[in-house]
Amino acid sequence: MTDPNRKTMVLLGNEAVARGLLEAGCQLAMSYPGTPSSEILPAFIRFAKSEKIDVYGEWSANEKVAFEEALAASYTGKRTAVIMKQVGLNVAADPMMSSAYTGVRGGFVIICADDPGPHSSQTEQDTRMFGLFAKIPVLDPATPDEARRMLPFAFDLSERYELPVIVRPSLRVCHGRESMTLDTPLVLDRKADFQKDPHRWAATPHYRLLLHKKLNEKLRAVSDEFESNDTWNFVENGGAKSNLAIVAGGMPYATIRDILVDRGVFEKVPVLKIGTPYPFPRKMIEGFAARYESVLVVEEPDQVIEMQLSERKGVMGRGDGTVPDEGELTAAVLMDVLGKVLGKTGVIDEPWAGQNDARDVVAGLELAVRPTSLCPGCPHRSSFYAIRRTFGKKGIYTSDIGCYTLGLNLDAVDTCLDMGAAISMATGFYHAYKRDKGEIPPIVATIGDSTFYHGGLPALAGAVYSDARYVLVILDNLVTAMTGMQPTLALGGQADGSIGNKLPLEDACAGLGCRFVRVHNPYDIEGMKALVQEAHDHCREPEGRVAVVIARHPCLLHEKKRSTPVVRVDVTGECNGCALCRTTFECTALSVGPAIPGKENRFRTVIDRRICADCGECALVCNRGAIVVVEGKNG
Amino acid sequence: MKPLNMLVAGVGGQGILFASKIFFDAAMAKGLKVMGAETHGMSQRGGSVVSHFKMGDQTSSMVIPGTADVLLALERTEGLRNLEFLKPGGVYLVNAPDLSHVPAAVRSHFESTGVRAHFFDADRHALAEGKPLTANLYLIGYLSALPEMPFEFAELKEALTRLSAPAVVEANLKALANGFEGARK
Repeated sequence: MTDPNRKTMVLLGNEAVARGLLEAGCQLAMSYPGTPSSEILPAFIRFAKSEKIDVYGEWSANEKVAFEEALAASYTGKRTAVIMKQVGLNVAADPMMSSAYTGVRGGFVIICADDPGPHSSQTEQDTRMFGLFAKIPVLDPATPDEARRMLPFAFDLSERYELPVIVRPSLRVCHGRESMTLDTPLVLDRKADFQKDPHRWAATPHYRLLLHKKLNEKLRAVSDEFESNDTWNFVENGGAKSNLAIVAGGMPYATIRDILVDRGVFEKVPVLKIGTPYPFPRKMIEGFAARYESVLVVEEPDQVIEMQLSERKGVMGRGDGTVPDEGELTAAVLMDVLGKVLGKTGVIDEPWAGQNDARDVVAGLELAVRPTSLCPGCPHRSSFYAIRRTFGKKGIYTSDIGCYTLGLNLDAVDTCLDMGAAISMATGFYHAYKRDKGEIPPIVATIGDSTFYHGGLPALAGAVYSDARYVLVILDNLVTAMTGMQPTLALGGQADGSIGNKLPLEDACAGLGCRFVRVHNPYDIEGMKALVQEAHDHCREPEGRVAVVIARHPCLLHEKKRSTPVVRVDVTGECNGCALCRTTFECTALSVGPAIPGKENRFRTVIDRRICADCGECALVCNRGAIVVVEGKNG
Repeated sequence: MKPLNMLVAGVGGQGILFASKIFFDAAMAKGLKVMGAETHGMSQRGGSVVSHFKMGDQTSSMVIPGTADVLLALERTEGLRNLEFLKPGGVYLVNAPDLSHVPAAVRSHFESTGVRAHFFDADRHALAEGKPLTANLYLIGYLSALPEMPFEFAELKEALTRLSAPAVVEANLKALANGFEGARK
């Protein structure tokens, strides 16, 4: 019976996590945006407001900062959380490793979203594996509702053992939707009460050894507790007579279950679902596995359950190549895996037929893949165009993580590694070339406004200090665009919508010792070209330093009231199909039109009105003047 | 009540998320268990977008290939790209003036698997009313007239009324009704 007082709602996985935070009594949450985790913090604040619960939510400068802030708040006895995507945990790894030893006081939960695929990340790393490395318990939800229900348990576990606890939803859990019956939020009236204990909170190596011993004891106790937990770990169809059993966790469990049900073989296969992959509930998992000739282990993105099994005989998974070792375990992939495994073990008599027919037909159509491209009207495009036209092929272009990684379509991005690397890598390139005492190529680093504050500040300090000489273009669109328009430090926008202290980019750069710091609107392409050239000249003068150009123009998708005029363009008969605009400016609103008569493989450019942003920038690009402004005015 | 698995495919900006919200709302009004997901690439605008919708007792938020009762294609290439999700005998509804764009290989696949293909020129109708962004609602209206759909037109109309901003509710309901009428012609 459902309680009529409990509301049933459809929530996005990330909203379900946010709701779970409230139902667990979480009082403070810190986060840095990153797909697929970005919707959690705003939902936490929104839900708390609507329930009239007082919480603090913060977009922090980066994940390390977020982690340390939330951890300190837990030291006061409050329940706190830190929220990020999987590569964000690399940034927060330093405090995380240490926090396992110091432990926590108020419940402290690390919510870290994985991205098998990867769909919008630089790696497919497995946060569960990070849990093993850091010696921190990991919970792995398979559905949005399970993620919500896991959070009160995670906080309770964290508090009972005074340990951080990781909750690892993956992309499809974060971005899945599910109808669920909500529980009542838990309102904790805990006051901050930091109890000094220097041997713990400021432990020197001697005490660290003792803390490590204590940590190991805690993990053994948590593992014992997981052995008998049948809420997150449970067997389905345990009575089925079968040679084969399946052990699965996270999203792949949900997918496998739906496939088995759809194919009418669900009752034939025992399935052990694991929601607590670390510390490993060994007796329970190995006791289950020992009852069957073969065991298929399905998890993502890496092997964590499989790797921890001490007996590998009869185990099928990533280790023996049954399950692909990279890429997302989509339903299509798992159907292939299951079809083969169920056939081999005699669960089904004949391999599943017909499942690939439609896929083969579609593959034969060779449908064009929609290119990933900067949006029409994106100010970054104009910046990249100006940079590339100024320094050409001989320039070295380091870039960073954000929308502007797509500057690679304009041949203006040569490297993209991790947050902040545009600046430190430009420094590295400079010093490597400088040692040769020959000509040092122009080097231009591009980085977004939010990324600059995330990882660029220490890199710029290092560049000035080591006297590296290059142009740094901060692509300032006044928002963290890629992850869904979160505010940046520069404008002081807070997670709850209020405005706090502003940190102008130009002040930060000047404060770090840059002498050439100029702000320019990149829509003025000719002006941008002249300015980046001037910046380059400055940085190579004897008294020069790394030179900063702040290319400032709001993101068109974010800007509520447009600051630039509508400039409608058209293509005249002068267009000779040279395609310069389509290749060098690479705006998706410049599309391939009819063939130019008498010219082989030459096609007119036509404006795709459905997506054109009326920015007028392409009119500045055509060297025949064939793209003309028919309405409005450029600049 | 039959379970329903449905895919809505198109490109960013076509109102795919709003379309699936209508079905979520209508299902919730009937007290049914629903799941779903939206998938898209890195592009903020103009990229491929697919919305999964599942009604009934299921565990994963994503439709399993070969199990979609309905594939609604707001854009023809995106419809073709997602054909593997459609079940044999399922309904394919595409936003197009006719089916001449469907390649021969796909037509014969439809025939051999019993797929019932429908087309409706929602873009043209919506544009004629001066409301190009309501093409998604024309198609949902059309769908609601098909016997395979477990929703009545009235149920979707109520859901759309609940979800529409006051300023556009009238135009939205008109688009839905026009689509419904279009299917009955």
